[in-house]
Amino acid sequence: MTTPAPEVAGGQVFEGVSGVFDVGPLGRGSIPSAATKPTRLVGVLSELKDGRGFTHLSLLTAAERPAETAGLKMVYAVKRDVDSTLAMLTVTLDEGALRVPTIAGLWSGAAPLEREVFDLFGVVFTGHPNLRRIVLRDDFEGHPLRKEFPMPPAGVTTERVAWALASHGDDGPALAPETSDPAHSVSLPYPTVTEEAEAPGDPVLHSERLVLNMGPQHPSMHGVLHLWLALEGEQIIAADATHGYLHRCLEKLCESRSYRACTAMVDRSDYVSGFHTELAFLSAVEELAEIEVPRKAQYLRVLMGELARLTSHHTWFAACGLDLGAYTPFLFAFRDREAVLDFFEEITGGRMMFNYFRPGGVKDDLPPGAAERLRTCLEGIPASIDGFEALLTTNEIFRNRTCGVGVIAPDTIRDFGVTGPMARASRVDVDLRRDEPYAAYADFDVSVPLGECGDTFDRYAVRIAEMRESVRLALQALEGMPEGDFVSPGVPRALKPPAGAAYRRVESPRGELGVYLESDGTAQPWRLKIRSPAFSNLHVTPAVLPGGRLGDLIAIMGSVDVVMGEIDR
Amino acid sequence: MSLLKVLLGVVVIVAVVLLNTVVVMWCERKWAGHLQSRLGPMRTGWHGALQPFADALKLLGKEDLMPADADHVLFLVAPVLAYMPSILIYSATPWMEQFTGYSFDVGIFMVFAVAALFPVAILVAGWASHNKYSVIGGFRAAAQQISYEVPMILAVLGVIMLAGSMKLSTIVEAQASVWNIVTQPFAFMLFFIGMLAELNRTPFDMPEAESELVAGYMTEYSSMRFAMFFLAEYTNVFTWSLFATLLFFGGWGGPLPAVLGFVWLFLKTYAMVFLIIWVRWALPRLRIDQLMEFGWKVLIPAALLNVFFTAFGILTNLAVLVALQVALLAGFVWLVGRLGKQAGAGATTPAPTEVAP
Amino acid sequence: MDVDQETKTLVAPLQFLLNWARGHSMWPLTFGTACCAIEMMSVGCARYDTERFGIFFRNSPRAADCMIVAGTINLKMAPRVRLLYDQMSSPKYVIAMGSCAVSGGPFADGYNVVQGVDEILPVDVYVPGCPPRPEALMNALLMIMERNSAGIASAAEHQTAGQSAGRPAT
Repeated sequence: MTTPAPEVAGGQVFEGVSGVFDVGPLGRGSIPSAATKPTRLVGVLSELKDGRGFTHLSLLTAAERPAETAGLKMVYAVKRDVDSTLAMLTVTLDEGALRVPTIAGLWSGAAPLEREVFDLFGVVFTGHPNLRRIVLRDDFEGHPLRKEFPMPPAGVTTERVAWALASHGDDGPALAPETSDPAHSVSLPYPTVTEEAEAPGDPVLHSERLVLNMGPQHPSMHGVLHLWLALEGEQIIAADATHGYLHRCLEKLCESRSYRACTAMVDRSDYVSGFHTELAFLSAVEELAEIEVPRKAQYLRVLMGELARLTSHHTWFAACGLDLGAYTPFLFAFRDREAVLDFFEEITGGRMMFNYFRPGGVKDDLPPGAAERLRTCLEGIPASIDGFEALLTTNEIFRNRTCGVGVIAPDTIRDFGVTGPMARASRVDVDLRRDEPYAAYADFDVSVPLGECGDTFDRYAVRIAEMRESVRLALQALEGMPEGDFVSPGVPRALKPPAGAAYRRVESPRGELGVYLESDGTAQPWRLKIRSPAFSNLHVTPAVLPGGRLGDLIAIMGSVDVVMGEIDR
Repeated sequence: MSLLKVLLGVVVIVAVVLLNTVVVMWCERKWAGHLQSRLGPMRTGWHGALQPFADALKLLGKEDLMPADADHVLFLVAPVLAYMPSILIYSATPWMEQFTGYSFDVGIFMVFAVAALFPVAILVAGWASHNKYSVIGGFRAAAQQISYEVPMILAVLGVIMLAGSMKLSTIVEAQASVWNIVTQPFAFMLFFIGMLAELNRTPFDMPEAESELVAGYMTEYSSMRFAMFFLAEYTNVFTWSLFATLLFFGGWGGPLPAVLGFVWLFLKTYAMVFLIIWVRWALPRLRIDQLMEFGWKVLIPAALLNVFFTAFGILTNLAVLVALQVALLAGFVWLVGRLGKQAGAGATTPAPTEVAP
Repeated sequence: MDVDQETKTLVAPLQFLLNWARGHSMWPLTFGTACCAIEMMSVGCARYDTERFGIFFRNSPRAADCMIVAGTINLKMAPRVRLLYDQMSSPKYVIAMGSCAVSGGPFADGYNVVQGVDEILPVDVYVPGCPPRPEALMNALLMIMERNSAGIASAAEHQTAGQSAGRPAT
């Protein structure tokens, strides 16, 4: 277990790095932060990555600068796994010069993140290989997360809908990138559909490449994901993941909601396990507003988080089985999940959307008798997980479909910023519950399953092991539940945290879920950014899918466990 | 007079087949439900017995769509071409000692020849739909079904050798003393696997792999045309179960008097149907190349071995035959298990790592 | 008997059969955009089991009767929703499941969110909730089936030919 080094507020992390200034902790927290100029950005990050071991890109986003100084600032966060140190870097951009060099040469996972910033803020990343919109339609005008963007006063009008219906709004990946000089742009480590679709097929058979659209409505696209594939028969030559079909303006809308209302909004981001986003968000709020959370509330947060992890993995298991043609595990998983959903309903009032965590704690204590019944229910779950394993784990057909399929090397994991069970399956041993204990995890022994080689079977096996671990941790939380307040007394109803920024991360069932929150002292957040683990996990697939077959694609996508609500927000 | 008899026979056969198709559809829904801890259809008739009728009638009342770019003639012909073999096959099927469609001397050959029309229909459907998913589904189906017919035929060769005739009623009569499942268990295993592939049932349902190809070759079909594919699939389930019973389980042989032989036949056929449905809901599906590899590299050599050893067994005596078959079966199961384990060599559910202090 | 009555006598039993069939067999399209999709999956599973009523989820729009729009529709998804709907064969029904599909839900004031799927399609049943309970969705499906048994036409059929879906002018 690694513990974050206590006194790294800037001094040691950025010592000797040239080109940085304004070194200090981020907001009221302890993350070392510094600023740099656009011209020095790549150099500084390079030094951090190669020279000081900060190999994981945790956050890449932008925020509007306060109204007095027009412009934006880019925010980067990188992490060193070995001692779980985080370092943040900001680059301020003035209003006429919203250009910054791309860091896609350092981390391939930065490319889609930069596309998102371009889409929503209008920052141009010079040297980016593929700078196009990613969540909005290609014919959308404007950059919505700018404060100056004119929000429609009564939402989207009927005329606008009629305009949207008139065309698909994206001609696929064939649109020209905004402004990147191909001669000087970073090259992607995987083939693209546009290049490969035009390439000649088999010279002997005179075959043609087939361009196949999978999604956005597709039984196995786990929500509205759109995959463009260039196929040679059944072989995938290139893949491109297009999304944005569920972009619901979450981050912008949160800027006009109170902090308490935002809790209900962020619930809907990762809708399969809403507690984790609630926790990340509220941790950031509590850091900004300097609210202490009582121990009992921390335990309740851990309990609910682990139950949410369990039900999320149940849902994943169901979808994974269904993708591979095993219909029955789908039903068994949902049946067993219902038992836990009954407890969610009893404790929080909702089966899926909870709004249970509050700034300073949780909404209410466990109802009388619920702890006992929950214990009984949880004690029966390992037996049902054994049942799931009997259906799939030892089944030769399942093994043939998953072993050796979609192997992701640890270097690729790091390159794309993949976290969570996907990373652990490739033996990248990172788990925020153990490495950087939050809530009450310092009191728990979290044991972390690792895979063997990073194939689909390992991702499956790691999640099954995590389900068992979640049951164990939930039972431990029930066992050790302290007495006390379930919410910190005296938290004002209308929260107005002092101006500042915070970046808090939790381990969600999909990986490192982070919330970057900036407050300007008013009752609404200034900037709310959700670092979505599924976004980074999804964008490793264009590097993993080529070379496999169509059948492998389904198996691999099933093991990625995407939740579109979180990816598109 | 005899023309009237023929027509009556045809009507009876078609009615019986359609009725059984409907029963198989109902069985599928109910058994799937019960295997999955739920009930299946309950409200439409007694325990959902009228559900297939409701489905079929509803489909009849739907709008008939054809994609603008589809090949009109082929698009319209494909469902009919798919359903035709399902009915035509019954011209060679014996139901009781006295009741056969037409007593072909080469009954088995006729059956397989007619069954081979089904992949053609699927290929036509896939191509005519002008849809990439359908085309992929069509190609997969054609490849799969053509490949798996070979081990099936080879498996049945053993049965033919034992009975000394290709005539189906003779084969059934030859099982009067001992059923072929006892003397040809290995051949039955091969036949069963091949049958699942012929039926496009999981684990061989790649052509209509729902999670991959939406509905495969049937994607663009609506209303009655879709219903015809649907019906053809379930009719085939019944047909092949019936043939499995005739070839391996003694057909209408049983303790009941001869005139009630068909009761036994149906009981055994439905036991086979249950097995097929059970396998569908319990197993995941194979990838198309794994499917093809298994068919060509494992099943066909195994089926050839079966023919060789059955011939040897026939020339020696019954005990040798049975012993060889059991040995082959055991060896086959072991081999497939080993192949599966090799694929997953070393892969186990990871134990959690030690918590480092 | 005059022609109309004759036709009615001939057609009536067939219409009765069709109504009965449509009231006992409903094939929804698996179309889930967002959170409500999870509850839609739950409703088909062992605890709620819609198959008891003859409701059988299909994957291809051509084979489906009913489109359960489960989740938020945004400007990028809107044309695809319309395309899927157009690919379905009549008679077809639409259930707007969840607040987002009914009116935009918690995201209604967004720059990218369509305020209710009835801006795009004619809706038969609105199911409020965020997400609605599985029983509520089952109720919606049964409502359509009961209307079919009674011979009531779908919302799509109620629309005048040539008129696009949309809110009535007020």
